[in-house]
Amino acid sequence: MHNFIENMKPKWKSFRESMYLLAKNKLSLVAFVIIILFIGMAIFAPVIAPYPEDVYSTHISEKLLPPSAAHLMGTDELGRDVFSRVIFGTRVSISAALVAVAIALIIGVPFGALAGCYGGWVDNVLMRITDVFLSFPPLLLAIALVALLGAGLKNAIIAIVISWWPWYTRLVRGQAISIRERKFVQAAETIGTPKSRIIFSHIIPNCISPVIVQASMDIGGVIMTLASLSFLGLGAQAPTPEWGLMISAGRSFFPDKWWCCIFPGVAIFLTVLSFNLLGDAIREILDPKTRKK
Amino acid sequence: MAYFEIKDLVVKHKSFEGIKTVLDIEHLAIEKGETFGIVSESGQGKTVLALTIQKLLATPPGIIESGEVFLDGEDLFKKTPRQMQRTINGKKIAMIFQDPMSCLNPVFTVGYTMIDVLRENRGMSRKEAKAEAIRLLEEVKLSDAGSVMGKYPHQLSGGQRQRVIIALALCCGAEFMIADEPTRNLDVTIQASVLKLLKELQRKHAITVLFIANNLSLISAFCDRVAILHDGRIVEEGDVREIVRNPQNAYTKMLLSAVSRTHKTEETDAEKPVLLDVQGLKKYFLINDEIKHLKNLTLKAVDGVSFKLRQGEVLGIVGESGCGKSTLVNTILNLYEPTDGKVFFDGQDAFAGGKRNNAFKKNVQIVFQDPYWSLNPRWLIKDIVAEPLDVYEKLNENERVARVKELLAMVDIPEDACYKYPHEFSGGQRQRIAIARSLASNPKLVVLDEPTSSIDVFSQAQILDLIKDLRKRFNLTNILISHDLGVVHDLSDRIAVMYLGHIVEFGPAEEIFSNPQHPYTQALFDSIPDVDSFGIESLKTLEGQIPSPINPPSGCTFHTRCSKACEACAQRTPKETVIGEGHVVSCILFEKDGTEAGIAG
Repeated sequence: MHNFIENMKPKWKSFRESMYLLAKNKLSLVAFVIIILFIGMAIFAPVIAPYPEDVYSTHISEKLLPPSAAHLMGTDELGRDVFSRVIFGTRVSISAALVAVAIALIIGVPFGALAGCYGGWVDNVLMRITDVFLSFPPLLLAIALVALLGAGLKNAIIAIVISWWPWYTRLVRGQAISIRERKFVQAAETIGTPKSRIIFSHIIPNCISPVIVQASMDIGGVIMTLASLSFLGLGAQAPTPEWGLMISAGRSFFPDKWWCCIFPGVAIFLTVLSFNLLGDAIREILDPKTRKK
Repeated sequence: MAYFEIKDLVVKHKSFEGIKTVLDIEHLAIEKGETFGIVSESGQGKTVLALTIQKLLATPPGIIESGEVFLDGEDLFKKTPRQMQRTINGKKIAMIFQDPMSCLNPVFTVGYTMIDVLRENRGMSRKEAKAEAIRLLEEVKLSDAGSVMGKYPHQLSGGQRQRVIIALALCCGAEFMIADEPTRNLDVTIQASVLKLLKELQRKHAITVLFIANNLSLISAFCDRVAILHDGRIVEEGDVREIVRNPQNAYTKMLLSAVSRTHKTEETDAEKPVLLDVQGLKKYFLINDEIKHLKNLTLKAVDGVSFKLRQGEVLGIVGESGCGKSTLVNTILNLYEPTDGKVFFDGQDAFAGGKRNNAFKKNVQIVFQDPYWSLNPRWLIKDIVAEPLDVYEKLNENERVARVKELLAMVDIPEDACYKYPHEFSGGQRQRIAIARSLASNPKLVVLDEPTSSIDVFSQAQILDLIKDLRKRFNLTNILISHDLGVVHDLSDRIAVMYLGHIVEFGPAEEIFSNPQHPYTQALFDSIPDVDSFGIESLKTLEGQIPSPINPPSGCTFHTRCSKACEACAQRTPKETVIGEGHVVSCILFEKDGTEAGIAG
C-alpha cells in the first residue's frame, strides 16, 4: 500500500502540471469542457434526453414540428424528438470512434515499433504493406471495404480500422528509429535486456506521445468518417440514432425543415472540432519544451 | 559611465510551481575594450543574462521586473524590440552561441548566409558582399575560404562552424560581443585555437567581450576581469588573477577547488591478473558517399588496437573527437561486430556466443556521457536502477526495492528517489543514478564514457570522488573515455592516447602526464587551459583538422599535423617502441632508441 501511494505521487504531480498547461490555453480548455460534456451526455443519455423512448418509437402525428419548448430541436419526419436522438447519437458516435481508434492503435503501434527497431527486411515488408493501404484515400478505402463486407455499424468500424492502422505504423516507426539510437536503449543492450522487453518497455512508451496526439485528433476524423458512411447508407442502419443517418434522413426536407439536419450537423461539428483542439492541447502538454526542464 | 552597465536587474521566471527569481544583479560595469568573464554552473542564469541584454528573453515565462542596461550611453530597455533588432542586435551587439550547428540554417550554404547578412545590413551589392564575405572568412583563418563559402553547415567541422559564426558576428562591425560558452562542444585542441582567434580579433578591432563560461580555467586564460554568478546574484567580482589566487567567497573557492584537483594514483600491484586482453582489434565501417557517388568506402574507426588491462586498474583513453575512442569501447563491449581481432575477458573469449553472451554482459557495464538520455525518461528511478536485476536475478517486488535502495545509498541518492522520474534530478544526480544502475549486476569492468562532460564543474568533482570510492569498495576495473585530460589524470592508472584509430602512446598515467613522448600527446596536453596560467599566450594550439579516417594519411597518420614530421614519416608506419616500463610509443623518432615490442607484449 505504501508503495502504491508513493507510486501515485509523481503521477498526481504531473497531472496537476498538465491541468495547469491545459488551463493556460483558453481554447483548449473550452474544447476539453465540450468533450467532457459530450462524454457525460453519452453516459447519462437516458437521464438527460427528454423523450428517451423516441429513439425508436414514432409519433406520426407530431412529425416535423419546429423547435419549441416541448421539443428543443424540433421533431423529425417520424415525429421523434431530434434533441433526444442527438443525445443518444453521442453514444453511438463516440463509442464507435473510440473502439475504432483503439483497435487501429493496437494493430498499428506494435507493427511500427517492430519495423523501426529491426529495420532491414522486417521494416521493408511491413512498410510495403502499409504503402498498399496508404495508397488509397482512407474514406474511399473504407467505402470500398464496407461495400465488400456489407453495410452496418460493425462493418463500418472494421473498415475504418483497416484504413486507419497504417498511419500509426508509419508514425511509430519514425519515432522508433530515433528512439532506438537513444543512449538508454544502448544502456539496456549493454545490460543484456532482452529485445522484446526493449521494444515494449523502452521504445514504445517513448514513441507514444505523438501517437496520443494523432489518435485524439483522429477520433474527430473517425466520427466524421462514420457519419459519412452512415450518410451514404453504409454505416449505421435506421432506426439507430446516428448523426450521419439523421442528416441523411432530414436531407429531403432541407431547407424548409432545417432542424432535422442542422442540429446533428452541429453536434458533429462540435465534437470533431473539440477533439482536434484537444489534440493540440495534448501536444502542448506532452511537448517537453513547454514543460519546465 | 562605463561602456556597458547593468543596474538593479531583476528577472523572474513563471512556471506552474510559482514565480522564481532567476537573476538579481545590482551592478555590473564593463569598460570599453575589456574582456569580462562570467562564471557559474549551468542553471544559475548565465544564458538568461545574455538573452536579457539583447531583449530576446521569451516573456512569458520570463518576467523582467526592473532594471536598466546601458550600452555606450543608450538605455537598451527603453527601446522597442523592433528598434533592438534594427539598430542594436547584430550591429552593436554580436552573439556567439555555444552550439554553432543550431544557429546556422542548415539549408543555406555558408556563403549564402554571409552574403545575405552583409547585403541586408550593410547595403552592399552581391559582388561586394561576396568579396567581403571571403575577406571575413580569411580573417577568421579558415583556410580555403572560397570553398567554405559553397559548403553547407553540416559539411563543416565543429571548429570551422564556430569560426563561421565568429565571421558572422564580425559582419556588421559589432563593438560588443557576447560569447556564450563558445567552445563548450569543441575538442581542447580546437578550443585553444578558437580562443586564440577570438583574442586576436578582439585586439585588432577593439571589441569588448562578455565571455560566459562554466569553467574558471578558460576564463583565466581569456579574461581580464571576472564575475562569479550564483543563484542569479554576483557573489564575487574583480581581477581574474586576484580572484584565482585569493578567492573570498565560499562558492568561488568551491569552483576553484573543482578545477584545480591535484591527483595521486595509488601504487597498483603489477602482479594482478589480466582482466581484459584486447588483441589487434579492428572495426571498419562500410559506408557510401551519397554526394560523390562512391560506394563501399572503408572507414577505419579502430585500426588494430591491442592492450592489456589488469584487475583493479583504470585505463584512460584520450584523443580528439573522431579518433575512435567510443567505437573502440563499443566494439569491446560487443555492441558492434568486430572486423578483426580478439578480446579476452577473464581468460574467456568475449565474442564467443555472439551478442547474447550474457555472462560477459553481466560483468561489463557502461556509464554513458549524457545522463539525461541514458535514463529512460518514462521510467521510475526504481525501475531504471533495477533493470539489470530484472535480467539477471529474479526478485520479488520487496527484495527488488530493497536492493535498489541499497544501490542508491551507495551513490548518495536519498531513498525517496525510487518513486521519482529522471527529469526531477540534476545532471550530477542523474549520473549517480546511472552509476547505481551500472553496479546493480555486480560487474567486474565498468566503462565510463565521458562520465562528467555534460555536468557541472562542481558536480564533476563529486562524481569523480564517488567513482574513486566505489572502485576501492568493489575492486572495479574501469575504462575511462574522456576528452577532459584533468579527469583522466585524476582517475587513471594507465593512459592510452588515440589518434585516428591507433594507440599512439600507452603507459602509466604519471609518466605520460609528467613526461609525454609522442608529439601528438605533447600537443594535446599543451592545449589544455590551466587555471593558474593567465593570458591567452599560455595556450598552445595544434593546427589543422583531424584527417578523415576514410582516407587516412600514409605512413604515420599524424605526420600531416606533426611539428616534428620528417620524410620517412609519410612513407612507413611506425612500430610500437617500448621506452620505459610499460610505456610504449608509436613514433619513428623513438624507434632507434627502444626495443621493438608490442603494447600487448
